[in-house]
Amino acid sequence: MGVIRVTVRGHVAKYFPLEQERFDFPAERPLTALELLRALNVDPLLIMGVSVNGAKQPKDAVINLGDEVLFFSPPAGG
Amino acid sequence: MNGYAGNILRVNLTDRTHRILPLPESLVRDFIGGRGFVAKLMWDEIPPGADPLGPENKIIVAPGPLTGAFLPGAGKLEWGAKSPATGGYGDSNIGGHIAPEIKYAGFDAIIIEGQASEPVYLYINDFDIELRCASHLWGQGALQCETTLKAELGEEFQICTIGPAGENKVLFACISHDFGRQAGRTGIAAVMGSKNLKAMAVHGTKAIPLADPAETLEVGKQMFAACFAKPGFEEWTPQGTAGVTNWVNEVGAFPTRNFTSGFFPKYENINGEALVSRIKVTDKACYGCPIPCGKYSRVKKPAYDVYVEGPEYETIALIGGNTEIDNIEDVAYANYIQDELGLDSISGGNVVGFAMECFEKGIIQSDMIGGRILRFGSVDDFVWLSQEIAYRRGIGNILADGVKKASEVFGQGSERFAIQVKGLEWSGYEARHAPAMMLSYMTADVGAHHNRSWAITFDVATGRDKLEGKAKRVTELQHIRPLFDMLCLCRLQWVELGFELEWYPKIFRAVTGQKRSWDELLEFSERVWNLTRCYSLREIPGFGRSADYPPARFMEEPIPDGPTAGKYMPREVIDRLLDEYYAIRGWDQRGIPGAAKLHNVGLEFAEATIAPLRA
Repeated sequence: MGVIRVTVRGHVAKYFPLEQERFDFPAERPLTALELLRALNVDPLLIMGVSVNGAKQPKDAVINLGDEVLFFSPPAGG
Repeated sequence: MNGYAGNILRVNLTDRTHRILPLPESLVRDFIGGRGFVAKLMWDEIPPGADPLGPENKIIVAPGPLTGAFLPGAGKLEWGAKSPATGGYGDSNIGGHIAPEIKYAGFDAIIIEGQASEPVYLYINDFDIELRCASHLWGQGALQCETTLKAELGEEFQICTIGPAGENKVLFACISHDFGRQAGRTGIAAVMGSKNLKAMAVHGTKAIPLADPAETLEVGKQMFAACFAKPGFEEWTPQGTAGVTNWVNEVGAFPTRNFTSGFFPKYENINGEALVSRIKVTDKACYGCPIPCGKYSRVKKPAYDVYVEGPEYETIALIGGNTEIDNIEDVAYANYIQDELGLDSISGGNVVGFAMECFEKGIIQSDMIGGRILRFGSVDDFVWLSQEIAYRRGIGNILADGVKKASEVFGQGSERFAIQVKGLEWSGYEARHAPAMMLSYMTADVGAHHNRSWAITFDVATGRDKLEGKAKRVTELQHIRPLFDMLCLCRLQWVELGFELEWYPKIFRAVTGQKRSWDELLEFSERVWNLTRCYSLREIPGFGRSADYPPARFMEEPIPDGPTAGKYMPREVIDRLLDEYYAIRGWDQRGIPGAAKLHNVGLEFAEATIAPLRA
């Protein structure tokens, strides 16, 4: 068992568990960003982009235990 | 009054006089500032039934109580007038640096009335107020005019201008400032043009009284620090709003081919990555902004070499996808052309897309446009038609009145794909599979504009086929977002970074000395929302529910392709959304605020006007 460090940027944080911007997700194995979002009960379509350890990645990128994943909200215009 | 300069400037263009009047305490007490001042002054000052392009219409310009103070995003300015595009309530806000300058010059609002007999510009240097001859500026582009006035007056002046489109009273002309910031919506630049007012130049040196200067500085510092500490702070700025292009396409909401579709296959040629990698020169921020959304770009091709601020998302959507111009250089060039002409690129792209579809369907024929053709995807056709519109030449004279009025002239079913509400062209989100976003557009007080309620992520999060809760959320957002326009703050810190709303009552108290919770401030916003509804009810015969419907395309035509293929929003769904929305608002099923609602939100003065409409 390990954790994936999750950060959510912007307004969609309110759709994550406890409406948190930062939290650790306990995981038994590496997950793709899509799997992680589904485990969090968040529609992947809500997320505009994914960054893993500071590098932008597609939503099917694998996130290893101990990695830091950042989910981006879509910008909401003016 | 802390947070306020304490004065209103009234300028009469007809007799070339001005007066400096004390800011009424009741206006501050009940309407806060910015959009609140605009709405109340329009109600009080503009005679019912006024011709939007006549001398009796008035332009109201208002910063807010936090404008120019030390906090993130305190540089917004609200413009208002009876809209020549809709005939009802009109406002539009602008960023840049002119709002603080107006406050520093000593004014919380400017009322511009009458009509000049020849072109003038309004010169404001603290209390030195003049109407100066603008004959040498008339005919100049909006950007060119700003350059000219900067050279004449000095860099310390902040300047708003109109281009040829405003001069020619194009109903979607925009006010330009800071070489690329625009108050684009509802046609207020056409009102300026009708008054022979080419520009406004402002310089101010006065101080603004603060209730607690030390606390203002401390809270302001904390707010900036909190912004900088937000997750993903560094990632937002490079693309700005253009960064949403991929996502909107992914969810099937990207306006394409005059809103025929919500999916543009060539989006990667016009998205944020294309902007950054191919044309962006640098970021460009408004006053006090920690997250610059402005992108200053250069596009250089054999045929042109121009600098332009943008394109931001809305322009990418309406000039790019909606007219199928499929490369970022041409989108930016078309953006530059419309900026210089002084056209709102949201309505501008929408109108050109409408005309292209009219041509495809044979409603506009080649012999009506001098033997030319109008092709989706052609930047040459886009630029040509933009110029025809700005100068009201030929078919451009019809299109210059916007898609609603143009479709009434063209007929032949073109009203079905005139994508507008209340006469204002739809902005950058195709909403046939997004009921909250659809309702947002339908019920926005100025017409089909996204900035009153941006609810598409709410649709995605809560289910795009579900209707429950959508009207409630739209109502909430219609109070939250316009409150930013009353305080005259940029809302991007909140929507893009998730900046906590709890910060704003803290800084509001430090600046003004007024202790109000966020929820209490929202009550002011609801008051203004009802007042703008009353204003349009007063001004537009038959206004109400019938003005809140989307175009037939959205109710009857399934989206042909992309992630939302097959989706449309039948009239019965639209009606259910409206029924719920009116009930939540305390309006009757014709969309008229009830007497109890007007009383509850402190608009008793409007009851005598509205009561006969309920009969």
